[in-house]
Amino acid sequence: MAYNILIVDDSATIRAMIKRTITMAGVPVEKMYEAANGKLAMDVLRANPMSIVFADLNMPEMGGMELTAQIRANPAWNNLPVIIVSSESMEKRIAALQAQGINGYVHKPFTPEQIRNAIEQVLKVANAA
Amino acid sequence: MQRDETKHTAMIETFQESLDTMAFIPLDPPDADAVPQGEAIIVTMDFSGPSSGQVAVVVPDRFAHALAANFLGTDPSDPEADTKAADSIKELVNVTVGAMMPRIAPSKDATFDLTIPQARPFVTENEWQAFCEQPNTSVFNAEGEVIAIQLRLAA
Repeated sequence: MAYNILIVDDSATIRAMIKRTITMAGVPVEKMYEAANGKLAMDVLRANPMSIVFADLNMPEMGGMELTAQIRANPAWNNLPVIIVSSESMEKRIAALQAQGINGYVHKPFTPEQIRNAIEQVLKVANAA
Repeated sequence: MQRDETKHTAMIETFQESLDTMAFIPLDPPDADAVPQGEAIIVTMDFSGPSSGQVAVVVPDRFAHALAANFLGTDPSDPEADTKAADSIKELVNVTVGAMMPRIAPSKDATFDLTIPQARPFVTENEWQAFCEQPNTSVFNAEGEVIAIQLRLAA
């Protein structure tokens, strides 16, 4: 099975880094999509079936918190894995994200291994379900 | 302007960790009287909460290209490193400030609001001199280029 992966970050560099890491990790990918904020990510999600979403928190227009809330509010995307990749490291904010239903959290600065581990963990849970 | 040593150290440590983890670039002491060569860029990012202020980083364009290349695992001559140079330094500041907040927070429950990093050209040698003369500025050598980082705390 190959996966559709959406990477949401206002930094084109971070999007490129995550794409490269996913490719190097050997994750079977059908297509990788990109969006520069949550609002644009919603447009991508409405138009394409998705397997995993990577999202930053602090973005213009719509951040990762609101994006996660909108994904979880839609029954069609209720089981869509969302992995937050952010420099935010205050425990209170991360706890709020977990309560909102994120499936993983990768802290910036990240190593390629941390991105790979997050994907493997999410796919393991998804495949076991 | 007075320098808060604890917060300044937290900034330097997170800057160093961010550079090292994401770009494999170590920070070294600067050469005496070093100034950035060629065009330079300044990136600023504000934070507000239990402590408020701004982190500013100045780097030569050449360093920004090298940073982008290391982030992307490519060569500095790669056109992609050129197009992502400014974005890379903005992201480095974003990561540094985000990671710094728990270290300057008075408690685990504290929250901070962070702005989006802003970049602009840093044009003259005079501007560099004025930036480095501030007691809240630290200067380093990275990849053979002189770079500076500053923490300004709101009163």
